Amino acid sequence: MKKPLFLPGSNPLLRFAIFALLSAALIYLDYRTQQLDAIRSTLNTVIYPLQVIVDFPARAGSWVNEALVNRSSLIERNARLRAENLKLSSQLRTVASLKYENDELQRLLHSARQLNHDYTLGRLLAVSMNRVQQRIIIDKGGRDGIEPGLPVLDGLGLMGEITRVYPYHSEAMLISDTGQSVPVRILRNGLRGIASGVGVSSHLDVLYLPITADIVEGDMLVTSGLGGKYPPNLPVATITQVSTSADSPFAAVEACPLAALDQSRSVLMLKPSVEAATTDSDDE
Amino acid sequence: MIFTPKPLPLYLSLVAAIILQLIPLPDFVADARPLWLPMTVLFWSINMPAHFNIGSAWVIGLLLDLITGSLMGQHALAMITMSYIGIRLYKQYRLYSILQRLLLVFAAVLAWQLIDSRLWGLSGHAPTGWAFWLPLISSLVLWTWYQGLLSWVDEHWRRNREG
Repeated sequence: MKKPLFLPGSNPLLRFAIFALLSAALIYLDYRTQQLDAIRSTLNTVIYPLQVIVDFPARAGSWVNEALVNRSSLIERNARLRAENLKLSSQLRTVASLKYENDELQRLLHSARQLNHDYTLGRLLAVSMNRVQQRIIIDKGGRDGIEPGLPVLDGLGLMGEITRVYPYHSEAMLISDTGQSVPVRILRNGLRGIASGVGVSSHLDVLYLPITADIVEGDMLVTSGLGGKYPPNLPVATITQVSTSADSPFAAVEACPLAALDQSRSVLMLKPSVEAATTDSDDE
Repeated sequence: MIFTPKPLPLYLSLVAAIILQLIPLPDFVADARPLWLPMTVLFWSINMPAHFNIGSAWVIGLLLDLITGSLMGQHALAMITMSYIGIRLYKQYRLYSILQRLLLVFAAVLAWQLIDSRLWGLSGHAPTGWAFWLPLISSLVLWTWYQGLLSWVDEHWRRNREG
């Protein structure tokens, strides 16, 4: 087969025009209506294997890493994990009694809020972290009871929120996405603000904190629960930089997400359990 | 329509480009990630317009839309624009000097970035900062080598099949 020097009777401009119109129609439909959602969901299930293939090099890398770990370092890691486990389980016992105490107090105060959640454990299938999009794909979907809007966490803090759900996988937008804002409060003094993503996984902007506010570097931000999107008191970020300028009534505050947004391979999806779903959580 | 088997290197390079385009990288490298998939589409549009036409580019663009979760048709539109530039000028491209070739590639990649950034803005993800334009430079720098590699693989495969 030789490279053809001239194309047999086809008109690229006509073709271009047809496909451009087709694309424009699709963009319009997707932007203005929900009609493409079903098609997108179906096609996404069809290309699911492709996502797995794309993930393969990364997974192969971690396999190789695991395979090359030698015995002594395994023993060492095992010992460390066992010590950590012991520490955590003793802490958990304290927490259990505190929780019991807290429940009692809340019942005395006739507060309806209960912090009971079911966890679903998921594994990352793919990530796309760039300026325009900070997004992860998780290997749990509608079949595992995942719903849009569920908060996603790793062991350290809030990662984001489920945005699209397919039968076998789902998509989550990270808190560092430019389209994502989390209502937060400072743990130390309860000041409220909004942590907004800037498209980089290593920091968030905290908006609407006045220049006179009592903020210092190292302050921890937790979700405030306002807006009802995220349950309250999930750890979000620590303040890394506070600067004020004369021409703005608000301080420029930067924070670093606590969750390892670009490293975690396992995530938790928080699902309100039955008793929490029936009650209300609008105080604060 | 007569069915013509599409050459293997074309498929393999597209799959490889999709992987390279999507594989997770640290922030500072990801910012400058070359536009692997658009470059590959441009290469085949220029070098094999009889096998790889605007329709193929459109399908690949839609695939990217599905994978990245962008508006349906967003990358498809950017992709066919690039492919059109390639297919329109594939005859001239062979006569061009290196500088002229790079200019063509620059125009095509710029068209891609412009369409892409405009349409990301539509879904509320407008890219901010100069870092969005880094891939333009890295793609241009890599083009000559990338093109050389793809042509070499293609030639090799063809020769093996014939002889």
